[in-house]
Amino acid sequence: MAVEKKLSPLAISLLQPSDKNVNVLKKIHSQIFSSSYQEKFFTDSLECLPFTSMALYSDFAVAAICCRLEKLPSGKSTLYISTLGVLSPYRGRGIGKKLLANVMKLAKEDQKIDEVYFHVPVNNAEATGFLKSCGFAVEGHRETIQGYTDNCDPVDCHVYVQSVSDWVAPEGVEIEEI
Amino acid sequence: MMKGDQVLPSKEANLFKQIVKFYETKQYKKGIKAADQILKKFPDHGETLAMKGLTLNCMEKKEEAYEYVLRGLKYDMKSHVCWHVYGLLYRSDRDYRQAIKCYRNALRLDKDNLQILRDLSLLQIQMRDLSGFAETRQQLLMLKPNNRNNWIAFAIAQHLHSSYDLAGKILMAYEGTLEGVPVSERYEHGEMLLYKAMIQEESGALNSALESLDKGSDQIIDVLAAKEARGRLLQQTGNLTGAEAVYRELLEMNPDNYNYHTGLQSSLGTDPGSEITPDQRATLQAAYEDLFEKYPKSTGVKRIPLNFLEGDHFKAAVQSYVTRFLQKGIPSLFSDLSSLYVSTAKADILEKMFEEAVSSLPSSDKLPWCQGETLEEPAVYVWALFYLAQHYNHRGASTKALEKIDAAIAHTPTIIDFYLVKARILNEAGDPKAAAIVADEGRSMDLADRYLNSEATKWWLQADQVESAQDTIALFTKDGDQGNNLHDMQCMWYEVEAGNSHLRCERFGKALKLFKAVAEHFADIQEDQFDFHSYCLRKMTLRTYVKLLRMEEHLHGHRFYCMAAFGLVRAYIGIYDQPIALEGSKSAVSAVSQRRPSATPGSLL
Ligand SMILES: CC(C)(COP(=O)(O)OP(=O)(O)OC[C@H]1O[C@@H](n2cnc3c(N)ncnc32)[C@H](O)[C@@H]1OP(=O)(O)O)[C@@H](O)C(=O)NCCC(=O)NCCS
Repeated sequence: MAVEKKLSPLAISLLQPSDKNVNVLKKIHSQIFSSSYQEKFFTDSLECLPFTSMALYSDFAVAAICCRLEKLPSGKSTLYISTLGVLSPYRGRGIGKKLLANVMKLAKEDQKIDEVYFHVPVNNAEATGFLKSCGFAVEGHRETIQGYTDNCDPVDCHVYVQSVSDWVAPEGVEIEEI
Repeated sequence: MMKGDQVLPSKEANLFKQIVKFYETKQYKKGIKAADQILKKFPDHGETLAMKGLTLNCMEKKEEAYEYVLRGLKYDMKSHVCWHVYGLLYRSDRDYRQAIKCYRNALRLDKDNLQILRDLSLLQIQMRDLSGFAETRQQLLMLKPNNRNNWIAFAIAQHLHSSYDLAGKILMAYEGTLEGVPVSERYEHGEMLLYKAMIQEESGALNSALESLDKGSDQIIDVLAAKEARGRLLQQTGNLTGAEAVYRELLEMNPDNYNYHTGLQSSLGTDPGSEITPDQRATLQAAYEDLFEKYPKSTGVKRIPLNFLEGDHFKAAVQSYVTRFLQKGIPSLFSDLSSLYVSTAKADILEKMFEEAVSSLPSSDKLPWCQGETLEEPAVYVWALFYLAQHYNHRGASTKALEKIDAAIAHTPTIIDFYLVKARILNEAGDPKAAAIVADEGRSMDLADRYLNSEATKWWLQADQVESAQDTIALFTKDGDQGNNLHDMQCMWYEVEAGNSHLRCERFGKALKLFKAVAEHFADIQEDQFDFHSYCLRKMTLRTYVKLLRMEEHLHGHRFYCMAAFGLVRAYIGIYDQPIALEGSKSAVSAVSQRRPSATPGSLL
């Protein structure tokens, strides 16, 4: 494989999705992911603000991170990151990392959240490399995703679990608030 | 009946004065009460009956109002009050001809009545009875020469009547009556001086106009307007050096005002808009290089040379011009440059440039014409594609245009502008329905954007999907009552587009209704000038006032009016040609009633 040239990071700002622009969120998903997400997926994601968010580059959206809070019997919650995607022309320029770091930062500020976790298909090398470089730990066991994705076969996934208190923000992931 | 019968005893006479006061202060109920008190004792008192009628008119009891006023007039034909009131009634119904007749009758009975003269003059200018207006204003001036407004209004009357000389003299005579200008009226005085120069300019007395501006220079508050006028005047008198200096000063104040650029170019000996010689081109080029040094941030200074440069000079200039737009992702680049397409050579240069950009960017991240190591951000490529799509569409190559816009959408599907352009391309390629669907897809991505909503509505109408259009536009109108709300907002593009759609679908009655609504807006706009006749005089915004009057005189040349008028004619012809007996549909039924005289074009145009 050819050595990729290292491109400078792109400046982004954050946009909270709402029922006014949820179709942008849908566009990003249908462009990036092969499975189609049901309406319920987006309503759930929209309920999880400010964690669910989109990245604006210049003044249009190029990436999104969708989340869901899962309440635990202890009264605490776990934050589940259901999707993270960057439109392909805008990848490799720090946007994914900034979105993830932002969610981690928000989770740290939220007293109720101890852990953040993530499902990644075992064959998604891209995501695996990405998460590793963001400081996420790989937990050994495998399980099968069920639920939102409807037109694809269940796949084997790695579960990445990251404790909120242990997480240290990588460098250069600050986002200017608009 | 004798006049003597109509004189009220003092108690009632006071009551009558009260009615007038109540009317003026809009306390209509009290006015009616007072009138009834008089009428109990003097049921035949004409002026009271008339005033009661006038008051009723303001309480939206039109029929009763006319009844009372006419009865009042019958009992007191010799009363100017009754005639005045009768005139006011007609005026409120916008029947100005009748109103003028009534005022004239009133003035026959009381020839120096200032209030009636003023009211008459308003109607005369509204109706553009210019000689009548001049006469009335002269009378008012003679009656009250110490009132500033009377001088000014008389001058305006002469100006509009094209008696420039007289108009100028009146203003000068008025100036002669002044003993100093109070500080509180400095602005008004300056406006008067500017207006005087405007009259002189229009009469062709350019040097007198320049003189007036020079003499008034320390009294004129609107310095910018005075400077603009000076530039224009110097230009017209052939003093190009003087004009150039003024336009350079103006550009110093605002380097992006295109009028100043036009002025500068003519003062440099070129006529913007017509062919220029190579020498002139070289002069302009040097001038704009110089301006660019001075105002590197001005877009105008960079954009304007693209109009006159040719060949390689053009190429170099346009390359550096578009680079900034592409890097910043400014969607309006194509509409900014589209006027250059009158030149095939320029269009060819642009085509080649953008094609090269689009083929080199994905692999190199560089614009082919940019030196240096800087790598472009990923969106530069997609904005170049976006430009090319519009370029090909403009040149009538829809297939290529579609190819480019689809590539752009595939690259970054979240840029909403792309969907609107795709809709335009599809529509021009002859598929309005597909266009509407794509525009609606764009709209759905930002439901808070009124512009997108209007665009989608427009495309639904183009596709004759009136229901979808109504549902869409209703998202942004109050209470979902879109018909009334749109009418109140004078939303003419919608009415015209919807009317045309109904025409295409042969729903002539519905089309008629919408086109009539547009005609009504223009009647309203014409009516709206009424308030300005007295307001502008009071505020001394004379130049603007005269421009307003001229604008109103050309109102019916407006694009929307013309479209509505054509639509109306088509609708009437359509109705006339419709085979009534064959069709049981609703529109055929309404067509029958609309063929009757009430719907003749004359009644609404
Ligand atoms: C995974 C994804 C979100 C990464 O987003 P991105 O904006 O391209 O990533 P960043 O530029 O922020 O990269 C951050 C780090 O991850 C690394 N990384 C990114 N993509 C990588 C890849 N394909 N392989 C290895 N490492 C990768 C980068 O090198 C970078 O490391 P560094 O900061 O140490 O230099 C993006 O590639 C994507 O949308 N993929 C498709 C969808 C997907 O798989 N989502 C994840 C599962 S839901």
